[in-house]
Amino acid sequence: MSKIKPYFIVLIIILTILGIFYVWTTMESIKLGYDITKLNDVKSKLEHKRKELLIKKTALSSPSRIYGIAGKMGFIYPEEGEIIMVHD
Amino acid sequence: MIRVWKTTLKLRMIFGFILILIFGGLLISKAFDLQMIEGRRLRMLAREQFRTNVYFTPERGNIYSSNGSILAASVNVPGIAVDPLMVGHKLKNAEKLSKVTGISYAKIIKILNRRIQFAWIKRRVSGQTAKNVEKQGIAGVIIVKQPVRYYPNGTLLAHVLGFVGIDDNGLSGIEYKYNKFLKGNKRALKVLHDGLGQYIFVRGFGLKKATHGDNIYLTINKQLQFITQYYLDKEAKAAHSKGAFAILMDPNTGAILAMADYPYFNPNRYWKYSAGYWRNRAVTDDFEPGSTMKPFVVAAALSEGIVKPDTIINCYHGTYSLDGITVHDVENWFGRFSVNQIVEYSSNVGECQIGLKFKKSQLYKWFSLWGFGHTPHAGLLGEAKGIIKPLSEWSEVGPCEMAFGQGISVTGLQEMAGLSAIANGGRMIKPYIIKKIVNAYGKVIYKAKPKYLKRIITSKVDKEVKYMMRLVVKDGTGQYSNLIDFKVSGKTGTGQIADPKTGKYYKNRYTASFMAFVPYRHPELAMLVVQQEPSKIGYYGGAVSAPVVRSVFKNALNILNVYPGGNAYIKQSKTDANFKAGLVAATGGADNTPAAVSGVMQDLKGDTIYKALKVLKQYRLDVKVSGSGYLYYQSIKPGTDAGNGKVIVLKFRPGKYYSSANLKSTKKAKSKK
Repeated sequence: MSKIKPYFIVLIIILTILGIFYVWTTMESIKLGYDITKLNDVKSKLEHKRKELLIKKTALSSPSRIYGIAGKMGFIYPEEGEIIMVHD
Repeated sequence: MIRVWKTTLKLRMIFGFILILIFGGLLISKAFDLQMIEGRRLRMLAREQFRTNVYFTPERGNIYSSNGSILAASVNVPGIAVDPLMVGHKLKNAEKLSKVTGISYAKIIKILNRRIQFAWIKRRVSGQTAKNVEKQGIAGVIIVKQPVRYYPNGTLLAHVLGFVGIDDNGLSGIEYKYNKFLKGNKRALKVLHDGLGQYIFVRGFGLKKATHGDNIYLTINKQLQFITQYYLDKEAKAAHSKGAFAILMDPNTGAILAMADYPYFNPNRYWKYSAGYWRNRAVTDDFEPGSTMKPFVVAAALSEGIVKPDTIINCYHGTYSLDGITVHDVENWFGRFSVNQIVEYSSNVGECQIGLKFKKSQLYKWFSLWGFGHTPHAGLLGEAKGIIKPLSEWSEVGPCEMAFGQGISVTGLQEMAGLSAIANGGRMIKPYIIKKIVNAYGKVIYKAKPKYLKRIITSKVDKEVKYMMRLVVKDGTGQYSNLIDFKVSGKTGTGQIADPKTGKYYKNRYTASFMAFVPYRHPELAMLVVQQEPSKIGYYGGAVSAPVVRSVFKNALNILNVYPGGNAYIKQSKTDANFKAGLVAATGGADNTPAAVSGVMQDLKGDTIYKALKVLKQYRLDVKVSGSGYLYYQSIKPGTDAGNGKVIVLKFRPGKYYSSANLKSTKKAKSKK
């Protein structure tokens, strides 16, 4: 009986450690789950922001807008003969 | 007492054991019931309590130009919705909402008084308005983000792109035709949630998101589209045309580079235009082509050996009658013309004579070979196939009329396919507008390749027809499309419009068209411009449509870096925004350029690109340019040898150039201040 007792205590300790480890991993897993949710939200927001900025950039660089601004600055499409060939 | 207790011990033990058995049995039977009989249902119920489905709405795919610039994209825009049953103090809250949204109080109170659980107050509001509404903290009023289609270039390519309705489904154009690719698939994702309703993503539940829509890349070049649209709009307005369209194509591949319609509409506010504005005339409208049909019939006649380019044909001084119809020419001095001259001066009588030399079935076969009467299948919505009467219905004068483009209807795309065949050496090619389709994960699921159908004319006939079309632009009816640096080949067309009720031609309604390609020998671009019922300037294709082709060709060749003689010699910096847009300074000081002292480099500092290149033209140098504005660096120093074949690097920057001398004086002046 006295020989079995230490083994029994060790077994209890191991089971307790395993139990704590299981609870810890489960809690970590849930915590990570929350983190993933938050990061997904951030990712989604950033993706939308990126898209909005891309669209804004496209709108700002649309040919009709550039043409209007260039016209005000005195730029025009070149007429024939205004394109200079240095040599051919 | 003790004795009695002892004698009943056995009895009590038995009783206790029975009780244990009964309760144990009950427990076991309940456990059995919970685990084995009700187990599955209860497990499901439990799972339902902490698991949920999150629905991810797919994002609609984007539409891009050939170089990856966004033409259509979806963004989430806030809207204000309400559960009227939840809103208390309706009068007070309606006033608050009216103040922050700008919507009338009466309209809001009407919504709040409805006995429903969901209503929109306004579907699209600005981000700031949404924030202001949220700040009010009115119970029952919520901000809902919904995808909205946005076309950042406004009217650019509107008729081809089409538009999307409020339910995120395409209603017109590419948006409608490729809706199943663009829309994507709605997908549910299983997640855990806690008591507060927050989602928890855990292993085993997967992270499969909704499949977003595919992205579609068109063959359209944004720059070319803009200039095509710009010049078409300008000329159509000047000519007071009822409608107009233009198609610009690469005749060697069939890729549609630009497609413009007039009048145009803004797809961001499509509901403000009547349905007539939405139509893509370039593919849906068929019309009697008039004289633009002549090169196709002449090519057929040359191929069949019916005529040769120098065959002389009697044009009867511009008037010819047969079987009750009279064919007229524009001029009455058209006597005996060669086939070359018939095309050059666009003689209807001469072309009628050529048409009559065909057997009916022969001409019918050739129309079919050119693609007339067949849907082009270019990937656009509503492609018409034109009208060619069945052979059995052809009258005796049918071949005569059809040879100069009457009694036959074609579409712009069909004419472009035929024109491209002439331009590229005789091979029919299928026009196309979808360059590629890429799924949400970046995988190319469709990629277009040029589709050559078959060679229909020999290269000898092709050269002969090209030459005739060159004569049209050089000396004939298409001179308004002539360029100095490039040789343009083309054909004008002025088709009469028939009254659909009587079938007779209106006396004063015309379709003015011009089709052309450039450069003449090795075409890079082919174009068709059609103006419907122009009423000012004139009604001839050569007068109202040829100038559009000229302006577009002139700028398009510059944008595509096609220079006279072949390759570009001026290597522009890719970051130079002005050159990217194909623009140059309007003021360049072109007239006072000093003559070069042979072999000795001049001082170019402070010159514009235009002025510097004009000076360098007189040397034989390989010039490399970077930047824009005024020259601040030249690699060959002034006064040194500028021998043949040397490379000179020129650097430009914005702002007026200051020489070291006047820079010092400017600094001094600033320091004094």
